[in-house]
Amino acid sequence: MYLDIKKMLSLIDPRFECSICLNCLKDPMLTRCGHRFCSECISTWLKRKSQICPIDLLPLTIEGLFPDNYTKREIDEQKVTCLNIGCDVTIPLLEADQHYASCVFNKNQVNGPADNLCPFHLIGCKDTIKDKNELSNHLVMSVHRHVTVNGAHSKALEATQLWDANKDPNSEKALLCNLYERIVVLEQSNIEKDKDIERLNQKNAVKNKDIEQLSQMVNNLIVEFGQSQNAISLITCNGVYIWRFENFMESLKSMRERPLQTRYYTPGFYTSSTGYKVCGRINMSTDNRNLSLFIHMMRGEYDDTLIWPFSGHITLFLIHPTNPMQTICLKMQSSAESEAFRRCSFGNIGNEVPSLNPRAFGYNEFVAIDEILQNGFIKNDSIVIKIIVKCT
Amino acid sequence: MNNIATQRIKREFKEVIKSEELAKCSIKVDLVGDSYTELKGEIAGPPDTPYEGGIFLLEIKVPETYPFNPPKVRFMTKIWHPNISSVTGAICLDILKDQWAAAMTLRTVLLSLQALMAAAEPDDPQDAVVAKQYKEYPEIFAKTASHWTNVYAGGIICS
Repeated sequence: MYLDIKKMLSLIDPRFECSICLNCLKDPMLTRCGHRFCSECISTWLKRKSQICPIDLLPLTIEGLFPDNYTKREIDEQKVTCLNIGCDVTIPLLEADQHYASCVFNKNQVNGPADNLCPFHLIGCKDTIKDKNELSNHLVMSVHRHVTVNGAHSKALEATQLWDANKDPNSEKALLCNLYERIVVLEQSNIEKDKDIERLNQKNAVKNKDIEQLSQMVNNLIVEFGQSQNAISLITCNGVYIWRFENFMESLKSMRERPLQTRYYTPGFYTSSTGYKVCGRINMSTDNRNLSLFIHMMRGEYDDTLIWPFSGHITLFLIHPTNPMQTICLKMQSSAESEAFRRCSFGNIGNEVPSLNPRAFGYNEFVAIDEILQNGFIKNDSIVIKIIVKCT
Repeated sequence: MNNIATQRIKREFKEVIKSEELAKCSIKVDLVGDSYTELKGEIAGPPDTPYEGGIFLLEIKVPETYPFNPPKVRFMTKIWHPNISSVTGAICLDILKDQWAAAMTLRTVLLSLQALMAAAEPDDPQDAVVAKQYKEYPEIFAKTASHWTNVYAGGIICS
């Protein structure tokens, strides 16, 4: 069957052959660079990523195609006769293929091939010969090939003898040969593994970076969480604030050197979760011999909803670290007349609302400095002050 | 398999069969099984190269989308060449990848591979070990390649 198609093909003028489907041109298109293809073939090709002519690889787009009606007319005029024995149909060239696939006389051509091997099959020629005619043809056509095959055959024999070393596994040559081949294969697989490792290392580095970033984020979150927990504890402390005043000796020194400028404040804390915001303050008394402890009203979140002025009790403690009996405790009642208990924005003009009432309420002489130093109130260079603010 | 691919392979078969290279025993194509999706190619080692005298078998797989996409080709015979993997037989050749054009045929592919065997491109290697040897120790490369040709591509041993 192939032979017959071959004959058919040889009837087709190469001018009428599409280089994509290798069939007779159907709806021929001419390219800008002067090549002809079937319309469907070239448009399928150009729809794929490469926008080039399949023959000379020059840039080509669908706009560079023109219908070649001249060639189309020429092809239409071509007629061929079916070559199958018994079939004498004359068909247009374009339909030859179709006819051929369905020609009823086609079957007559299929004879069981006689599997006669070429006399040179022992040295590697794999062709089969049908009859004497073909044999003589084959022998003439394939002289060159048989000679090459023969040469290769004897070379291979030599090589086999050389490298297989008579298949004696103990011979040094065989051993060397085996080792050599192993080395080559191992070396190649080693290189491929190295590449794998490099790839994995790169991946790993990226992952490590991710992990670093994540742990940084976690650290930040922990810090933030700590801060917000502190902030929450200031809101939910119910007006009780424990002030651990650290670095006492150093602070005392600066208070003595600059008594007017040096003041220490607690952060603002709330009397209840929706209550008044207050803070404590420590500074040197005017006589330079006592510590003063005051309470300031601060601007809070819920000031609008509260009753002003503040009314309640304030209790101040200086905690003795070892002997509770020596703890100093002073209690006072708020007074409606005092400026100190007013809302801290009250009476201020302008946009800047101060965050704490400048007037404070407390004791100018809360405790004598000598008493603190001599009666063992200092532990680890710290004193502890407890402030309780309760509304009534 | 789609019609155009099968039809084209059938016609290309004829092209190889009637080509003068076949008569010179330098390239050949055979069917594997009944379908036209898998073929077996054969290339004779080009003269004046370490591959001379060897016959190299190729596995050719024709995709559904042929000839709009290239056939997948790989050496079944082990070969020592910078652009061909000594382990898998994979080939590094531009026309089998992005430089494919629909007007190329099995015949031109096989001839290109033969040309590649005659003129390696060590700067675009498939097999790094071989390429390194090719560049740094050309004499040892030639010996190794010719040894592999003798051992693996003797041509007749497998039949």
